[in-house]
Amino acid sequence: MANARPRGVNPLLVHSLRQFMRARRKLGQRPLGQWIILLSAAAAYLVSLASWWHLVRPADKGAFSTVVICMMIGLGLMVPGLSAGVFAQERQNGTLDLLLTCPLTNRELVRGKLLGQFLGPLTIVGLALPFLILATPAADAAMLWGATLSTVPPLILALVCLGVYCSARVRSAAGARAVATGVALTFGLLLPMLDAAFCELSHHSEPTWSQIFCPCVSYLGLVGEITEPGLSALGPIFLLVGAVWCFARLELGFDRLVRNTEYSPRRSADA
Amino acid sequence: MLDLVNLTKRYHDLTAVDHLNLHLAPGEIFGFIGPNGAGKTTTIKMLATLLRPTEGDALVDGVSVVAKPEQVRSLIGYMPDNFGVYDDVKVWEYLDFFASAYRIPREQRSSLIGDVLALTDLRIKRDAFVEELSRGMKQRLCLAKTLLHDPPLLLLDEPASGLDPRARIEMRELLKQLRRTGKTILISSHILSELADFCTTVGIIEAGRLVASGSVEEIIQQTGLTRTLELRITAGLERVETVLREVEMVRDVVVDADAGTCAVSFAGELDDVADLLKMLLDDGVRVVQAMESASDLEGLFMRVTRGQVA
Ligand SMILES: Nc1ncnc2c1ncn2[C@@H]1O[C@H](COP(=O)(O)OP(=O)(O)OP(=O)(O)O)[C@@H](O)[C@H]1O
Ligand SMILES: [Mg+2]
Repeated sequence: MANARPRGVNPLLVHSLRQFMRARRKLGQRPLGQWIILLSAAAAYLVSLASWWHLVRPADKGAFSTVVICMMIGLGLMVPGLSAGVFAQERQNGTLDLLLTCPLTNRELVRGKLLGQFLGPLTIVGLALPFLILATPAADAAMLWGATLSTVPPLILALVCLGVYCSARVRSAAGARAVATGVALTFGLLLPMLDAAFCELSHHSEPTWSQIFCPCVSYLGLVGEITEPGLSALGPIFLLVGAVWCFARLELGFDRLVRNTEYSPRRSADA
Repeated sequence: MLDLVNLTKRYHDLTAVDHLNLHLAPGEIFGFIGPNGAGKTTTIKMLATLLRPTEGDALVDGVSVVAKPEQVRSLIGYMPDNFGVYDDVKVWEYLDFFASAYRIPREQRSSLIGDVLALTDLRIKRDAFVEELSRGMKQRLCLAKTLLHDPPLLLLDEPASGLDPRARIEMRELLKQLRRTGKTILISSHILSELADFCTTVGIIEAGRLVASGSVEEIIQQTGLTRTLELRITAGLERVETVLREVEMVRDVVVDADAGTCAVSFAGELDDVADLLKMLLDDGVRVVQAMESASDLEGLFMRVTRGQVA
């Protein structure tokens, strides 16, 4: 590669950070007003965290799995849409061509855009985390968090791959988002749910949540009676390897995906 | 500096660019002219490594856009015909982003940004938000962006499109300044007269094929077209016709006595205009103004192209 090796922070990330910090501007015209809104939001957050602490009695802590599962579904549904926006949105805004003529590597492009895109959602997850930690039953903490952390990241990575792929191939941002979310819904929720119903009908044990959220495991379950913990643990590993492989392929081959999609010339208004 | 070798782009069954061959010497300003849908944007996008040619290749400073697009990207400055800008970003931040994307060290960026802003006359807008700039300013900002990494080749796709007459003139002045920096420039337009006076060579493309190329002079010669000279005369208008009819290369003389002007069509070179004028002045005709009519270039354009689209 002729270009100097990438040094320092990813330019795209810096750019997104700047835009992210600017979002404050949407709160109002005056800096004072903006700060008042931000500070009141922070105060409200702390108050609700404190009341959560008091409200969640040890007996209620079983609420954890419900809360986590709801959050995962919410996040899971956001991820493909968000990542599908990255390049499709640039294309729709007409900024993609300028970006692609810069001597940035594929890896910088994909990672920088994705990280930038997830700045907001990551902040939200970060803010939600204390609520979850407070609600975790002490006895099962290790098990619950272990299961979550082993399943969720590879799943998210897989959804990101799906999103980026759609983003590179579908022309409009809304279209890319719809396709990515649709595919994720179909394969991530609908089929496993059908599968779960099928399991139940055909007298098998009740579906576990890892079956619901980890399609691979569910599909295995469809083939035979695989409900042993040892084998379901293979699911996340399988998913992780698959997702990492997909992501690496996507990063390396991103060039071919996005650059040579035939552009749509928007005619200029003047004659 | 730039060589196109049988450059071809096909979209399904439509050939947008058809075996284009071209050579641009360093420092050349090449006007790429053609009607709507002729394939200008497609060609420029291929040079900018945004589209892969179906066939053929283009070499920028000897580097192939097909084989080594990464290397080509730092050699070119590309300005698209239609482009958007990012929201929530200030002018200097926008340029800073591209400077970092072009791997310009942080220490050099701020002085560099100052320089390109001065060149494009946007210094007062340094801290304005990009989305708040007028269209002409955005075009200039985009031009500033293409100059950041000091590329030897500029690819400008209709830089004056959508601008009002004043902004068009400003853009042209700016481009004239760039010419002095010795860069090779490929600039597209569908108006020949807009480019004729400051391009060293022009190429007329239609339906993906180059139908004529060379200096405007050469093209006029090739196509056997006459030039039209518009004269403004304060005294001796009645003698003009008799004087000029005797000259061999003069094809037609149209006198407008009320306006005090006269249009002379002649088949000669630009240099011959001086002889014509001398002849008139010697005869006591007071010529106060003489210029080549712009509609002439339009005529040339209409003659060379046939209104075909790819
Ligand atoms: N993505 C695409 N898919 C199919 N055909 C395309 C595509 N882009 C351009 N074309 C066709 O290629 C031809 C050349 O288009 P191009 O945009 O290069 O013209 P142009 O010379 O830039 O015209 P204009 O002066 O209007 O900008 C046109 O017939 C156009 O319809
Ligand atoms: Mg065009």
